[in-house]
Amino acid sequence: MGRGKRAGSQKMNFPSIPRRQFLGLMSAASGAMLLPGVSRADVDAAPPPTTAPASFPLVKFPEKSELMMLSDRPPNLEMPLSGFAHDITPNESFFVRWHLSVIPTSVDLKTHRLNVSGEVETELSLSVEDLRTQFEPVSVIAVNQCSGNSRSLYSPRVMGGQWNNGAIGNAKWTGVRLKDVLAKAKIKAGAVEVVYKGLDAAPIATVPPFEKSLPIAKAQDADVMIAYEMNDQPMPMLNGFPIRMIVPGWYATYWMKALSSIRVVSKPFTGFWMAKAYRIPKNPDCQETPTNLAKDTVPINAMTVRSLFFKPAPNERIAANSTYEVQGLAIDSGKGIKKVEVSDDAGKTWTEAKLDKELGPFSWRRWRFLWQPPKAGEYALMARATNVIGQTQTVTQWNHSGYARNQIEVVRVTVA
Amino acid sequence: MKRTTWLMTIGITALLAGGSALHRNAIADTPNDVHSITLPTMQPDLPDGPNRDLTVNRCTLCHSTRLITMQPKFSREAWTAEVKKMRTVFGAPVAPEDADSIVDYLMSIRGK
Repeated sequence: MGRGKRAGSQKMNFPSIPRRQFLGLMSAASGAMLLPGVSRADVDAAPPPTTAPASFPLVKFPEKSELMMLSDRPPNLEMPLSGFAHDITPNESFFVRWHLSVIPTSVDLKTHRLNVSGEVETELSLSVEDLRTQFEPVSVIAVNQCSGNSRSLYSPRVMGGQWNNGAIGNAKWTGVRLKDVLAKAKIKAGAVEVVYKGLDAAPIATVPPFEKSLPIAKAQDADVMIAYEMNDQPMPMLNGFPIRMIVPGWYATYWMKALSSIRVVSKPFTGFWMAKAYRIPKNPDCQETPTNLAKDTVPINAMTVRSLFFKPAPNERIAANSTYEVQGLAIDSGKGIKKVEVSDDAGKTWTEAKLDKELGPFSWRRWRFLWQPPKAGEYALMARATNVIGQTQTVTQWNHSGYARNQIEVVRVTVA
Repeated sequence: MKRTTWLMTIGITALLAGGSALHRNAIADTPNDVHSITLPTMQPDLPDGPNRDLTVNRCTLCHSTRLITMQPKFSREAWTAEVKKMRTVFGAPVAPEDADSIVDYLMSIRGK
């Protein structure tokens, strides 16, 4: 399942149909599909379909299963749609995103250190063993989502990693609280932010190092962690071995992989990846237009509310006179999902889906909706999540970096 | 290296590394606690055309050509801005007179 095609042809077992003939079949079929039930006008009134505009080869990287390869150097690998079957994403299925192409491929646990410096009374140099033995271990189930997840669905298209919906995963993270590490170092009065980086680097010195910062209040939040385990195992190298920052509820750009240093600073950090990149329009749904770009921007932060379809897949054919379990996952910044509603009439009417048990405030939450298509025809299914503080999704959304997607997803299917 | 060759390389590496359970043992059992992976290497996937080699030469210093080929079609204005960003923000070693040639090539494969 998923839009990725396999690299090479050794696993292509489909009967060979000449392309022209195949396209002919497709168009003939779509003409026949326009049956009474849902009018063409209803379908067209819905926002554009979220069918993947690009396809990427499925490639296996070390410690990973076959993932959709957007790029090889640096590795940017997307989880196929089938990955959404799991409440807890297996480590090998978890998406991979690196910015700079010199990434760690070998780490010695005996020599790797997390250095804590800057506005602290006591500088620290901690091994992974130190983290495991000197601090209280904590665990959280939390969604990790790329800021640019679903970027390829923005219209007009924007430059950047052309992700579909799979730059996201949900895992159990185990490690220590960042605030406990900071307490051991004793932060001085006047500290305003923590700046941190990992082992990755650029091949040339002119590229700004990938460093991120958190306001000191956020860094002291009991939820923010330094994890040494992912789903009770050491994390794959490509997901940040041996330790990574975990900022539940915030986008993955803050979840620094292969974490190696934390610097406490008394002035706001002005590095490229905070001051110039990863900025969003300063309005609730991160909106701007190509001709009127937002003048007021802020660093991207807490995740917007959204729901993603798992089933049906785009353009799936569903048997008429059947009951179909529509399924998806809803996320927010940790306030908690209150409800997910589904529409099969382009948003005219909405029916509440059933939520699975909550796995924790920062986990995604599965929803299910038993759908009985009224009659054969084309449908635009939509799902809209709302959290407990009333934040919900937009009907249309655009920003020039393709960040913080929370436009209501539409999946077109055919009932026949 | 041909595509099939690196696929085989990944396959063999994966076989040696085993699944996640073996991965854990590998960490525990390695005397010096060194954990390593071997990344696949892949050839540029840019199609032929004027200035193709210049583009490969300058851009792949920092990233593979797949960062280009994954993009949809963009206007000359957008590609010009992107090349400018690579030169001025990231310090890509592209001479000013080469920037337009690279934009020409990008337009030929992903222009609109």
